[in-house]
Amino acid sequence: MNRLAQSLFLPAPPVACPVGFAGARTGGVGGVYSVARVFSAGGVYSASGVYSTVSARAASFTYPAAGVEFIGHAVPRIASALGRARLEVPASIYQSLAGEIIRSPQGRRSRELAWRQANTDYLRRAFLGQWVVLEGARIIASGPDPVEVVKTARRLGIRSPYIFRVEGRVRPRTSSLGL
Amino acid sequence: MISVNYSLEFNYRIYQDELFPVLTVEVRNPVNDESVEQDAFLDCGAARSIFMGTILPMVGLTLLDGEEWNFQTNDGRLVEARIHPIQIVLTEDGTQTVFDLPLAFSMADIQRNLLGRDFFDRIQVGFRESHSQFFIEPTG
Repeated sequence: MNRLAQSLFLPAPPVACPVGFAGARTGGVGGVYSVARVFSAGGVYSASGVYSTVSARAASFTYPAAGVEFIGHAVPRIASALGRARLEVPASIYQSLAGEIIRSPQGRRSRELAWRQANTDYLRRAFLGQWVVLEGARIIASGPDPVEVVKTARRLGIRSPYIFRVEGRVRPRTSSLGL
Repeated sequence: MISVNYSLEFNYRIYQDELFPVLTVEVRNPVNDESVEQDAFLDCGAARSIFMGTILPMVGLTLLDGEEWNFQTNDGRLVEARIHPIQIVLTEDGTQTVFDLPLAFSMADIQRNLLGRDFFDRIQVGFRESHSQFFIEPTG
C-alpha cells in the first residue's frame, strides 16, 4: 500500500512559478486523516483530497526534484521549489485527489505568502521576532520597531506595506486558540 | 435544502506548522488614508474582531485614544483593548470591498489578528474544514 502507484500531473500554471506542497495533516482520534494540497506559488491550481488512515503513507510522498522536510508528524513542506507540478501519490490517495483539480483565486498577497512559506526557515534564522515588510519576493525593510519598518517601506514607495512579525515554532503537541 | 452562494474561494494557509483560515486585509485610517496590510485569522468564536495594538501607530493613530473595551479569554483572563474607527479593505480577484469597522486593538501583545463575528456580519463566510478551504461573499 505504500508504493507510489500513480502520479498526478496538474495543468501547467499560466506563468512559470514554483510549485509546492502545502500540507499533509494528520489528526483525529483513531481514524487518522490527512489533507493533501498541491499549489502553485501563484495559487492558481490546487488539488485536495480527504482520505482516511493514511498518516503512515503520507510520509511516502516523494518529490523527485525537491528536498522535503517533515515537521511534527507527517507535515511535509517543500524545502526547495519543484520544477513542475508533479506529485506522486499512492493509488488509494490518487483516487480521492483525481477529479478535484479546481481553480482557486490568486488571493491577496499570494506571491508574498508563497515566498514566506518557502522561506520559513530562513526567516526564522535571520529575522526571528522582527517585523518584516515583504513585497513580492523582496524584503523591503525589517527591524524590531514596526512603525520604523513601515516608514522605511513608505519612503521606498510602498503605499500599503504588507507587514508581519516572524514567529518561532510552536511547542510540539500544541494547538492555537484565538485568544 | 439551503444553499449559500460564494464568489471567492480560499485555501487555508500554513501558520506555525498548522493550517488556518487566514485573510490578508488592508487596515486603513480613514482620516489620513494611511494603511498597512496584515494577515488576520477568521475566528467565528470571537464575538468581536481584535487586532494587534502595534498596528495603530503604523497608520498614524494612538492606541490609548480609543474607547476602552475588554475581551475575556477562554480561561477567564481579560485582554484590554481600545476601539478605533477603521476601514477594512478586501482586495480579491480584482474586486475591492471597503467597509467601516469599529475595530478593537489590543493593549497586550497578542500573537495574531482575529476577524470575529462583527466581520462576519459584513462578509458572508463559509468553511469547508475537511478540505481546508473557506469561502467569502461580501454582503454589502
